[in-house]
Amino acid sequence: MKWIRVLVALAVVRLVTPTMVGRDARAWYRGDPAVQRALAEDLVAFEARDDLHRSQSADRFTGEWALVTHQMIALGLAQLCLEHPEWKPRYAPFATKAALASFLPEMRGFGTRAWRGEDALASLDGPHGHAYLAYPALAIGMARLVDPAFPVAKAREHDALIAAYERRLLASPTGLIETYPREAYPTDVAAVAAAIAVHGRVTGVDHRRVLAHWAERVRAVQIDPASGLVIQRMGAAHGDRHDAPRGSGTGLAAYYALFADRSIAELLAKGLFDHEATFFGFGAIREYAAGHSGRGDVDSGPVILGVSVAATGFALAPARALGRWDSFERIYRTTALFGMPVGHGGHMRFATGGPIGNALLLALLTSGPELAR
Amino acid sequence: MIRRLALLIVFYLLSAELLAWTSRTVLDPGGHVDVAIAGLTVLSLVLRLLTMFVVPFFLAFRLLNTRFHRPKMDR
Repeated sequence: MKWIRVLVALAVVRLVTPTMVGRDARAWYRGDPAVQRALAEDLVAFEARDDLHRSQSADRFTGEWALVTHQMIALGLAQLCLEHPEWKPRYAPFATKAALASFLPEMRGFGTRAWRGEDALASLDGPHGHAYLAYPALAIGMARLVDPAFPVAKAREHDALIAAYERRLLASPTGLIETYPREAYPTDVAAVAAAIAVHGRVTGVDHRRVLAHWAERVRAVQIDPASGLVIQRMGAAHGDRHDAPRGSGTGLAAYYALFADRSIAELLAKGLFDHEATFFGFGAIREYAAGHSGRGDVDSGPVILGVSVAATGFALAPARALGRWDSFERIYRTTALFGMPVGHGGHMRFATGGPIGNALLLALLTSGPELAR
Repeated sequence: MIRRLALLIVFYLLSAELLAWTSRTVLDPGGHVDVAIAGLTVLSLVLRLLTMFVVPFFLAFRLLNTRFHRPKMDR
């Protein structure tokens, strides 16, 4: 009879643990102001501390991760302003502050070094892609969308950058532009498309031709037909594969596609959720398509039992924005299990996430209001 | 057993709070701080997994034992 008691105890764990761990899932999915505001306030406090740090410390929080941290804070706060317009007076100025921080020259130093000293904004007439700067360009666009006081001089720089991206993307037969020399990432180009789309919403400029070109090339060139995942890294000129179809790139590309083209976002989301692995009420996304394998890297984070931290987290955005409640709930449970949400004084944060993890989760858990029609 | 499970939960809550405080306070991790945060993260995660899975299992198992266990008769 002991094994029956073990089975019953396991069944209790199956029922109790996912429910306990994912108790906030429905609040995030529905856009409960209490949970959204608590995480937003923590990241607003981070932006204020970062300013102080920047002025006092030579060892500044800079580089690729810092760029993404500020970018995601800007996106998350701007999405909250769209979902709750009455929050604009509080969060729109911080969306601008975070977006401008992501646009600082030192934040893109890694890209300037990769192009042997060529700065992206100083070479807008040139042929090089510099697609990494689309991340801050998207943040700037969203800040412009919600903040009427956005500085005009920076808006003009943004206009020029978007015009350069539009020209480069239309000239590319693969719908890809380079991030680094001879390396193009479909995910980064999805960020380019998102930045162009949001710019159109802000300024009224018609970008439909370039967005249609990008969407058609994504379907024809960038998605692996067998798995439905995007190829992580490619050659821009001929679309040759430099890496496998992977979940982390597809997840983030699906989030960016939400800004630009709903049908592409749905296509990428289908590929992503076809790679969901479930266990005991928890869900996670496999990093590699069937027939491919590899270790974790800077894009995926750790890959454990075939599932990756990044792909799993990124999947929250299309799950919420496209109304996939079941997947959202399972994946949120996994996020909360390993993220360890803790609250303090009206703020909350995911204890293991650090600044970048919390910034990402603010943007991903509030995804939806940015959805393109 | 109950006392051990309670201690486990207390240690988990303490480690999570300490981790949250550390990651809130230290903006630019580096060197020894990095190692400390990584160690605290692993410790907190292990304690959380134990708390979330092992505690409900043993509580349920013990409850079932108490409810359905038939004591042996003295001969």
